[in-house]
Amino acid sequence: MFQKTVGFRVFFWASVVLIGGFVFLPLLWLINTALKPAAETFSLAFFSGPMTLDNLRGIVTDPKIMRYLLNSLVVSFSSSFLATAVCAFAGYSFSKFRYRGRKFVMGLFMMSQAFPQAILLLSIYVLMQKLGLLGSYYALMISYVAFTLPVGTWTLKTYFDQLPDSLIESAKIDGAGNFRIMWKIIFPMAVPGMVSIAIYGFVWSWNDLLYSMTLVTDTAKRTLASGLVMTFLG
Amino acid sequence: MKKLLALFLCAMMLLTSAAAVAEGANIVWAGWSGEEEATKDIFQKMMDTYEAETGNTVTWVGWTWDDTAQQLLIRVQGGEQLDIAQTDISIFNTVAQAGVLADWAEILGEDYLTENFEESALASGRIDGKQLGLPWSMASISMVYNPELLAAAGWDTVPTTIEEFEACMADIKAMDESLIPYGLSTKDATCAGDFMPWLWAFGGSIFGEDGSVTINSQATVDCLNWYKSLLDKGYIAMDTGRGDSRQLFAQGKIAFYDDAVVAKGQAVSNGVAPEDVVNVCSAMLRPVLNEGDEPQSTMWGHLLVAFEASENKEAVAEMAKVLTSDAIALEYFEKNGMPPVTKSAAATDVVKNDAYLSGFLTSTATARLEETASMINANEIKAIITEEVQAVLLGQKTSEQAAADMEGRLNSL
Repeated sequence: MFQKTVGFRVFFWASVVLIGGFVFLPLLWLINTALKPAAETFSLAFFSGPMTLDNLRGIVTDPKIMRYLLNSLVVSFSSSFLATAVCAFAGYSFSKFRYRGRKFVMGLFMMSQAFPQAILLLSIYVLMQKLGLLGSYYALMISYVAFTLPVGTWTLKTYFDQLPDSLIESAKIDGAGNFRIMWKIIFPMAVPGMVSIAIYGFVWSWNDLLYSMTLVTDTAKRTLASGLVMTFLG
Repeated sequence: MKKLLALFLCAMMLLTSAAAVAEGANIVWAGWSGEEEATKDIFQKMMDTYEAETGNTVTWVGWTWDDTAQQLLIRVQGGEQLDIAQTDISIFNTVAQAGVLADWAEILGEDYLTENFEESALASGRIDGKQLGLPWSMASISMVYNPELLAAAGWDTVPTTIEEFEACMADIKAMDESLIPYGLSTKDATCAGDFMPWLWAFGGSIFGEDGSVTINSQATVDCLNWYKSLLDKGYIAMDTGRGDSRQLFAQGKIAFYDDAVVAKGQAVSNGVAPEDVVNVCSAMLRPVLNEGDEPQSTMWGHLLVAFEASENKEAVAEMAKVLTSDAIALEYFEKNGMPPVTKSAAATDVVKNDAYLSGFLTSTATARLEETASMINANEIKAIITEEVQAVLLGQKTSEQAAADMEGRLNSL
């Protein structure tokens, strides 16, 4: 009944407009700026005045930017896929197996979140240098997987905790091995959780600037974030 | 059989070493200007010239100016090859304090340095008696103005006092409401960089001679009040950094801003012929509070640094000689306005008679190093100053509060 009152409706729509404006206005402003001629970049006109598609055309036809985009897609999809796979196996292990040191390792995963990424940069840099991976996509992928791992593993562990052990026991009675149980029974039931980790990992890799700028210095291998910064800010 | 084998091995060793000599060294050069559109081409030419003259090869590694100090340190401390780098005055000390730089006096020889560089230039790169920075280009960050815009607003001469400066900005604003008369930096590290000379102009300073924090002064309050009044009148704008100002200035949307001689590069890359730059972009002395005061500006310059861990010191010496050679230095000067520092290049007519450069050199006569230049936590100090200046501009704090908070926060570092 409360939903039908005038007061509620006013509150509801006012909240929608306010929150929607807060969330979408920066995005709309970004699109607005993208459609302005360069000389109008700093004008306050909002979808009024002269508009052009030249900026978008310039980006789409710039092979360098397209190369950065491709690099970003390769790195982000790969690290997202790898992170999801590793997190799923680790989360399943923590959730469904009991072995010595399990809680300690789980604690280590949690603790690794306490270190700011910028502080880990130097040690990761040295590690990649010793492994001969500096300047390669692998250096970025491994770093991104490492940063996604704690949150991803804990999230999926919680997800797997909710799946009844009886399912696994039934599968075992039917003769299924651990890998088959994971692949055929557990993972399909955990798809929503795994998708959220994949998205989390993808966004992390896509948005990263510090690591992509530090670990890869070859212009041809730069990702979109570092490539755009280097191209337009210099 | 054994003799044959030994002969074969000797031949192989000779061939290998001959190949190594023929291949030459590969040095890694790092910095930021090779990434910037305005200077990318000349940097490529520098590398091509070096490779053609020496047979060595160069690998360029670049970042944004903001990231260069941090990235240089990560790279060199991570053990990755780094032989020579471009730094500027504001980051030189940060890199030098890490103890990773080599002494140019050992690489190039004391005699070479004194024969080719003025003592004043060498002094800017000397720390504790060691020549850790090789001067590459020196001038000041001066105020730059657009003579055409000023003339259109009825100003045939540049304002010399703050009062005249405000009157000039009022005329420009009255002429065209959409113009931002002064592209004062109000964000990032350049905000603090611009604030310093204005603070000096008002008679204040961040630190006293004994190193104590002195920023909580009436001069700071006056300067911050003045900043706020400029914003309220629409003479300056929020969210403006050096890069934004350069771009807006090139579009004729800004009449004044603070920049180094590299401002010329932006104008040239926007299609202005090098000889015509002075018509749309000229340096001027910063207006003073009272007539007779000394105009303020900050020292600006680029230095080359060599790294102690480099295994290619001879190749680095050759690179430094190419980069400071007259041919390269004069081309860099003509295209980007970078004033050469070698005695021979500075003595050429093209440099001595350059109208664009003369304005900057006039400012340089009274230029001072940024007060944070020799401090390892310069970025932190600048961030605090920027935040407090922004708080005043946004109306979140009074000037008195901001000045007191600046002092408190700087003392707590």
